[in-house]
Amino acid sequence: MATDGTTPLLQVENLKKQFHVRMRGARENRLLRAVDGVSLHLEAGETLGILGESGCGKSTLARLIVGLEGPSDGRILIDGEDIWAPGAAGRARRRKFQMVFQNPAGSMNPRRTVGASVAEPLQAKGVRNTAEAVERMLTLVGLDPALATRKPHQLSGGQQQRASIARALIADPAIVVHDESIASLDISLQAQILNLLLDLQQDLGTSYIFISHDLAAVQAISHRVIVMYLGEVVEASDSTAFASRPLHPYSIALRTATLLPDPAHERGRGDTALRGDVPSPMNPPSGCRFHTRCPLATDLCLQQKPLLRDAGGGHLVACHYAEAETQAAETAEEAL
Amino acid sequence: MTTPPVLRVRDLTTRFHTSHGTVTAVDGVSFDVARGETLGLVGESGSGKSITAMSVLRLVPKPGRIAAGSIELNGADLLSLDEEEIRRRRGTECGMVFQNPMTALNPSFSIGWQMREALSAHDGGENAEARIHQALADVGMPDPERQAASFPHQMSGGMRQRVVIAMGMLNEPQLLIADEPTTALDVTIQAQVLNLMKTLTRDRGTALLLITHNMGVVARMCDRVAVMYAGEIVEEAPVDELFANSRHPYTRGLLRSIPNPDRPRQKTPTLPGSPPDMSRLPAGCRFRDRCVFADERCAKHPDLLTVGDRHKARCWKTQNGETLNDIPATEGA
Repeated sequence: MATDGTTPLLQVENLKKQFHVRMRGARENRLLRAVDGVSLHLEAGETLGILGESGCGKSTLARLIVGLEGPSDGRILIDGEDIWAPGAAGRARRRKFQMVFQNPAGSMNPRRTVGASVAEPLQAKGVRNTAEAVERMLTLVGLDPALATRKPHQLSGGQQQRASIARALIADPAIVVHDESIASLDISLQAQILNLLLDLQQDLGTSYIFISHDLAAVQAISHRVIVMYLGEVVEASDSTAFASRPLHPYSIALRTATLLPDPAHERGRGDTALRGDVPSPMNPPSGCRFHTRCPLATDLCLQQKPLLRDAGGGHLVACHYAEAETQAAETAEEAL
Repeated sequence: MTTPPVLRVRDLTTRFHTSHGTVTAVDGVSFDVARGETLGLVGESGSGKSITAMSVLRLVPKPGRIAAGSIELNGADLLSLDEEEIRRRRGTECGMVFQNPMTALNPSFSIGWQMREALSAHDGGENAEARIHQALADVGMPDPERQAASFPHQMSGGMRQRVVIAMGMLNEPQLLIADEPTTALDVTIQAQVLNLMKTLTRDRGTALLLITHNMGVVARMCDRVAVMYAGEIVEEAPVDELFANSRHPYTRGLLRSIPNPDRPRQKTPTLPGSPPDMSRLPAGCRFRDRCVFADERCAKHPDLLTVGDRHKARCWKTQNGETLNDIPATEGA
């Protein structure tokens, strides 16, 4: 936590990204607020998980953080300095980020060897002789260095994703942003990659932002978790506290909807699924954006947008009623 | 069981003849699905689970070919039917739901038009309109009249998948084959769609063959489970038995490699390695290279044999009554 006055490694302040979209047949552009006022921070050596479903803005947020796109508003600071400062200073700061994408085959040049692709970030830094570093990185991610001479399509999906991770880490970035980086892998490989990321973080001290729709995967790797809904942060918490007590009704719904490999538990599952679909970000609901699907929603939620507030111990939640929920749970526990 | 199963598959073998040689994607697979029962066909990519489903429907893509075996739907041998007859049975006796609803729906026609076609392909369709609206209402679509007039692109992914389920169930088939029906959906929507499929199949006594890689979906939906690895069924058991007492090291490893959402930043035990190249299968047990229990017996290919009540496994060790309980924890890199 950055409350003691030290500067966090990464600070994102009130970040916004809007797209102008013209619907078919419409006369005017509509505004799509993909990311709408997101603030977050990340410490050195820490993993921040960002959890959300499709359309919540998590991928846009990833692209903004690594500087692939410029924000419409707000700031991104690394070591307290703006990554969009003009000229060489800003460029150098943006180089401290790397990204690992969902589809490893699509993120590597199919005509170049794996070794050449892995070496790219080093070459961008002006390093000429990269062979040794490539060999070291491939070994570090659990690949046979001999694979460096192969083309991406000659590797399996798991090997490709390991190579992407090697490329992301080779130029010693401060922060690696993973955007659904294990989503297209088989389950047995997902666990392998998650463990690899934990090991690499311990060895290299790299910070991660791990973006996923998969609550179990986010929890497996994150120190802290942020939940997004329709472009906004609805909850931010330490992952341990989040595991024991998610506060926002949407987070609770995500947790409840996550299927567990436990037939007895799953058979007893009631029809607790969240009703309805995520509304269009083009035309988000008034007040609390979750009110159209929320089991707790009242008139207040239609009219007044809940602000992100501290529900205790740095556990942030944007809900008018989250505290009541907590108290109810506590009362229930005491009664037992 | 006294009543014959709705679907009975025996020794199904499906091969792909390519320029790189022959790949046996499905290798001697046998299973039954009874009325009102949900059988989960579980495996990772390349295990042959989807090709098995395609084979049952006789929809194996070229250059694939069903090389051996029998498939009986309500006692009729599907492999001996001509193309016209099999087309008639698809949809009437056997519905299908695939992973990506966008590929199952034609983007240029309204939902109602497509559903009418699915109906009329199989019977004349008097009061077709009413049946379509009822089918859409059954899958929880608000305002079915309006939905029938809309086009696939005007709907969300969850709504589209509901339409595909409504189409799959339209002719009240005895068998529904669903291949990763919720994999492309968000978790909150997945929960809705699974609830829906469970209710519909239970109310109508539909036999459901559910293909998935997700053990949570299996736990939620299935009565029995068949686990596939490298083209073969390696274990088959009732769902509780499989999760509590798996008797194949692959199943055991797969179940252990699922992260627990309530225990943050804990390493998950993994299965080392990855599945074998199907064009260069190892001799003996196909899981041998990844198996922590492998010994000299595994050089010989094991059969799928009974290891307990309604429980079969393809493993020398458990077939000899040995346990897998003292599994060495493998933190595979």
